[in-house]
Amino acid sequence: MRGEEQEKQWALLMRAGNAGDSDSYRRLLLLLTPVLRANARRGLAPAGMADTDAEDVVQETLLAIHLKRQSWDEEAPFGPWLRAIARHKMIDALRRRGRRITLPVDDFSEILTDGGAEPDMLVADVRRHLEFLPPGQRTIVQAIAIDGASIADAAARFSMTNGAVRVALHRGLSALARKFRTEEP
Amino acid sequence: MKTDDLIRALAADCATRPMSLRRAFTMAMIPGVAIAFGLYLAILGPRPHLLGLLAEPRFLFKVCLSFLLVALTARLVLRLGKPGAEIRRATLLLAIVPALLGRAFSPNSSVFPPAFGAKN
Repeated sequence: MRGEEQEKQWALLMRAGNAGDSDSYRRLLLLLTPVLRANARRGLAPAGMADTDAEDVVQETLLAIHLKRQSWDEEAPFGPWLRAIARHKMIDALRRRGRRITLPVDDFSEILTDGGAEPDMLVADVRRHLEFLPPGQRTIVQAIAIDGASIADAAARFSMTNGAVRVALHRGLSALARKFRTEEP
Repeated sequence: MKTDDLIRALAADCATRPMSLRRAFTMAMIPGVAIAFGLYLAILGPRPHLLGLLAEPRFLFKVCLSFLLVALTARLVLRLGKPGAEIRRATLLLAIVPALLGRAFSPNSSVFPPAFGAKN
């Protein structure tokens, strides 16, 4: 029952996000992260993959949720959609490692939402994914993601229009998702 | 990048709405249909007496069957694009097309007279 309630709340936040409420959307992603993290760790541990690999899967899943959110039908239940994406991203990660895939992941409503904290990574590792972005997109993604600037702040700082910042951000995130897909182990 | 940082960036990108599947599909159909029609004209060319054939049940059956197949596969394709969506029913519905075809070719069919397809 608890899982069902949880999924209803996720769906509610997602619909608000689709309507342009970025606070609800952010809350949703923050709520999903520990669940995805616990799920990824549980799935990758048998393959001997580290928590940092699991964190990559979490980030890749979040990017996929974001970039493909139009594929969720607002009338449809949210859980199956989320589980399918999480599962596919985990399979991708295992496949890149050339592991045999045996996934016991069918339902994560039973997982406690305490997925543990994000693993500490080396400072070099933190910026790893941003480095390959073209400079224009990198500065925008960095300003918004790491420095916490809003679209308007970033626009003012780099003397760009809000629209141009939005485009650069969106392209940067899409490029990030592509990078995850092609990443060498 | 830290996961919380990524989430901040994703939330900031919330206003950029990706194109809906249905719309993307429709946009791809327009050139698709145009190219197919062009190929039809270039390679096959319209049959003579095409309009006269419209009264033929066999001809109508063929056209309707093709459209039915298009409609059923479009339904399936749209569902395939949605992670976690149920596709069993849409897949099973595709069986209508061969079933209709089989029915049309059965010996006492009214669409195809018994002599049709037999070697004369």
